[in-house]
Amino acid sequence: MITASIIGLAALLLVVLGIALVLQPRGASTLDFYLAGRRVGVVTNACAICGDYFSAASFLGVAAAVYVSGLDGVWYATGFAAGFIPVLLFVAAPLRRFGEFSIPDFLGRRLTSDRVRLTAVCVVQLIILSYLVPQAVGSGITWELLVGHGMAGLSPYATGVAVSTAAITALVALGGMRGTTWTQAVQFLVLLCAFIWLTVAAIGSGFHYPEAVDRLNEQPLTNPTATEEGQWHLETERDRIDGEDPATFGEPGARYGSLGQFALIITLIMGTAGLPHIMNRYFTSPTGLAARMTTVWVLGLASLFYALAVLLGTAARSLIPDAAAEHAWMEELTVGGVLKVPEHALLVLGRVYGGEIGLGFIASGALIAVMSTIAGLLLASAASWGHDVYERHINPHASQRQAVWAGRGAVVLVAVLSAAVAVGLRPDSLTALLPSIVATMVTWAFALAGSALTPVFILTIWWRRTTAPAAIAGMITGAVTAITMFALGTVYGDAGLSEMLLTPTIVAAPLSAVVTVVVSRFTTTPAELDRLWLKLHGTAADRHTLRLARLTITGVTGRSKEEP
Amino acid sequence: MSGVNRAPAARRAGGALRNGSLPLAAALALAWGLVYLITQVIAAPPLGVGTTLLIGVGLTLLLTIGYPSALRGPRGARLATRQQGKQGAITRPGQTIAAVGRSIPLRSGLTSEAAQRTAQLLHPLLGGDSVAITDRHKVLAFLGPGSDHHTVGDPPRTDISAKVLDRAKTVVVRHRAKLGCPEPSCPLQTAVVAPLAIGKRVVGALKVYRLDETPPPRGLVEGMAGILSLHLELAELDRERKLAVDAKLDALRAQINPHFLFNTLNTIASKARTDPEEARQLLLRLSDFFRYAVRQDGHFAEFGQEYFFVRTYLSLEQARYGDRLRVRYDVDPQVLTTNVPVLTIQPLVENAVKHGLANKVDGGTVTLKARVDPLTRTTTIQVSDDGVGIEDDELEKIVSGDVTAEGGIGLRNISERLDTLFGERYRFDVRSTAGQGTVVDLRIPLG
Amino acid sequence: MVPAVPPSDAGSPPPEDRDPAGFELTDEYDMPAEVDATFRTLRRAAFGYFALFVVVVAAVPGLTLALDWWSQGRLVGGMSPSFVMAAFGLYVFFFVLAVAAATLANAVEDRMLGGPERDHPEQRGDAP
Repeated sequence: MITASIIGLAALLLVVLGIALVLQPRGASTLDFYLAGRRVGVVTNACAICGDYFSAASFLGVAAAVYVSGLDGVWYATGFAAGFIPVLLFVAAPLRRFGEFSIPDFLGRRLTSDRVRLTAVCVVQLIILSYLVPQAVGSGITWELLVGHGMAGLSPYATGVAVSTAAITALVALGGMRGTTWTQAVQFLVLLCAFIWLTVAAIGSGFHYPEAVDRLNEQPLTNPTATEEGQWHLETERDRIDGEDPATFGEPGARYGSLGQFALIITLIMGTAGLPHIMNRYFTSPTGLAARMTTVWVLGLASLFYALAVLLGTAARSLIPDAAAEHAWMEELTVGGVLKVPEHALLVLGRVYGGEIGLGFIASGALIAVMSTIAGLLLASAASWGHDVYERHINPHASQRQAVWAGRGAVVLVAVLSAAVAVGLRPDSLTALLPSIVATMVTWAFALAGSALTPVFILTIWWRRTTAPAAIAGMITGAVTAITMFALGTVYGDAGLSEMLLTPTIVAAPLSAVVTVVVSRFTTTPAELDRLWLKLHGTAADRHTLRLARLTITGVTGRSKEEP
Repeated sequence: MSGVNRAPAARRAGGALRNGSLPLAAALALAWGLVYLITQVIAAPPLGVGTTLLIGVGLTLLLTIGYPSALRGPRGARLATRQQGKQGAITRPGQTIAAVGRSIPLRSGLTSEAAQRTAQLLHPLLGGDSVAITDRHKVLAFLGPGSDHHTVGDPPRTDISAKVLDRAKTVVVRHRAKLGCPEPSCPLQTAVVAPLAIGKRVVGALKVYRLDETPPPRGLVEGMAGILSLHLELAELDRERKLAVDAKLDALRAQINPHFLFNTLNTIASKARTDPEEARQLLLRLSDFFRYAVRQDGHFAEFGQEYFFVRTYLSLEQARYGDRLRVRYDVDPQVLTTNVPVLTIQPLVENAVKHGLANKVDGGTVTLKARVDPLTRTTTIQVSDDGVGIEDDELEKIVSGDVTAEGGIGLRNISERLDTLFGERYRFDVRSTAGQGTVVDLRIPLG
Repeated sequence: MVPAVPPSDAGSPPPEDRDPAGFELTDEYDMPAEVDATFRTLRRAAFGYFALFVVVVAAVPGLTLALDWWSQGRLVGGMSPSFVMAAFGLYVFFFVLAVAAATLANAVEDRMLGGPERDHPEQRGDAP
């Protein structure tokens, strides 16, 4: 359909990969590693974490959630950014210092128990799967808008899901996309550039943020709904806090009742610390201290990113009605000046401001977000199958080659599974039930991570008495509670008390923590706790690393660091 | 020396160092209650939320900022404290007394620079045309007509100076001839010369000259000379005290217990075969220990550094005592950057190990707890052990320094240094129950 | 693809990897009691910050239920206080909190573990 945008997209992807490959520090010797690992490294690593973290949910989903439900959608942005505060306070430095390669490995070593490791692997795989699905959905939506027609008899949406999943799986499995720090960092910068460009363009065209919010508040918030005959019409959102009044953009209540607001925020806050692909990144920091400072940077960058996302969602809500009147191509996407699929918000803005090229730019941003996150997730999944399960339990004498093949098999399996689930969930059919479906679906992964992993994670790091059986009980309790509540939630809808069911962390996490503490009281802690503790909270290894780095630098440059 | 040794400092009540968090919380709750009552209940149309919050927050700020000041006594004392903080601690006691006439810049003694500034300060007050200050050998300052040949740094040119310095009595000169200035063109006609003395020792003279026949008012000059003498005496006292504290600190460094050294070296030697790596680390720690003890040249150090010293010491003792010595630190992050008197905590810990745990068969725990109370601006350091405890009369001996001969570092040394550093503004408690352990509690102003 | 390693650049040397030739480099070590003390101090600070964080974050939707002014009032240009907080204020708060917490934690670790490295100041802490 739109040749220019596809060419633009392909060109941009090539350029990004090219830059990444050309500029990538070569011959990563120990010296390079340490030199980079001090100041540059912290920022680069922070960008890479952002690249992993900002998925389709952040790039398209947050703006879509704001577009659809105003202030209630802003909580997504807040929650995604706030999630790094617990990571910073509780997890980053000790996790790096303990020095294992994955979350299951960390828990298994800390509690000296293989059962804990296996339980954690299961939980991690569940989380990865529930995170992969919305990414696939996001790429399907993008394909639908960008290309518009399917291949091999599939619908455009299913084609998008299949193509993106296949491409990334191939890249990851063949080792071409090893998710190096550098590529991830460049990908994040592209995303940020896309947001900054859209913001500048919107403000340049006369968008005034506070006034726009004020104007949007004057009329009730309306969203399109499809009737059974496929007819679309606008429906006013009901304020779920004040009862029957219509909801407005700038006030809470369009999406969540008073309890739901808290439940959503807690779910997102607790979730990040349990996301395997993010936590795996922390092991690339040279020291625990660097891991901590990396988190501070991530938080700053994420704050900037999400503040822009909220702004763009507002801009879309306030600008698209006028734009719809001007541009004929928008007719089939909107109903009375409101988008049918809110995830299209940024893409439409891109096309309004940048024409076909602009659309291509934003679309490639979305695909990059999806790809980098999927790559990170698949790698985390592969690492946990290949390293934690295959090498340790199934075939302890596995050669490196066998382990690699086990990992590849896992990647393909997990990817196919997620694509199948994504195709099964037609977003058009779900938008009525769950507006801003991508952001909503990501909260499932956050809910699972925050309920099952984060409480156990924090307790094992900050409470000496935590025991292996307790951790298993805690993880299972958290996961089962979260999944059960979620299942109940889909049955009972999301009104009143049961709106909490869809974001279950507020109940499941405390429950998991209590179970862990109680079971710990009746079981015994691992032997050699002191030794584990030294590794987890001591800084001797950090100091040793720093000193080595300093000596290396002094030795190579022939002078001490103090002389500039 | 030092006539300021107070009785050994067991159980000294520190009036100004109360814990003030609870009363403040109560006051805040009361204030908010009142604000609510007045703005929301009594006022006919209740005030807007913003205004109410503003009033409440304002009151809260006022209380929180004002409250610690109220706790710390009248304004004058606080000013003095602030100044001491700036100058570094050692001149404190002299300063508090000298606050009477604090503008006299003689606190560092009779130096040329101080004399110059004093002369400038006094010149308009003394009713003379020229003012000079000398010490026993030379003119330190000369201000006014005649300064061309009565130059600073020369020996006093007038005979009269020698007379005053010898007899320690004020002399009034009414004729130019008696002034005895060898310079014929000297414009000075009359003078009053008063001695400056520290105790009975004359250290200099204050001279006031006039160009006419009437001598300057004798009473005024004599009185001012008296005040200056008092300042000089205080300065001297300060200096002696500083010397005394230095001496005590030196004594403390010299006293690093030889038994400790030998025991540690023995431990290291015995580990050298079984665990060379640990032996090497112990040796490193031992050198850290001595380096720290020797290198401290100020009277204050950051708590973090003192804590390092304590950790070094205890890790060496732990190597010796093994599982019998357990250690628990409980340190507030805010304490780490505060200044504490140097080499004070480690002796307390050493006492706890030596007197508390060394004689206990199954060992015990030494606890170091450090807190900051920002409200009263106090640093609290507590060293406790669950060892054998000390009998009352024994405790008396230890705090009075009688048992230092056995090798322990007497609490007396510490309490004397604290006396000099803080005057009355600290608190040093030793509580002990035989069989249950000893608690040493030290509270000093936040610095 | 190597599933056994994390998605990383050249791996950091594992901390326990000691070079037998560079034996004198390994004299950094911690005592259990010191680590325990640091751990407890950090835990106190972390949970303090976390409590503050939760209170502030929950206050934004919480005040909506308690104060009409919070969602009805208009600040600069027409945003309600709660929208301003959600759109900008909280991010600023997060960042300030993060910097404060990280600085404190670094300072605590620096002073409570290891020796004072007077010869090499400024080597620690990569403040942003």
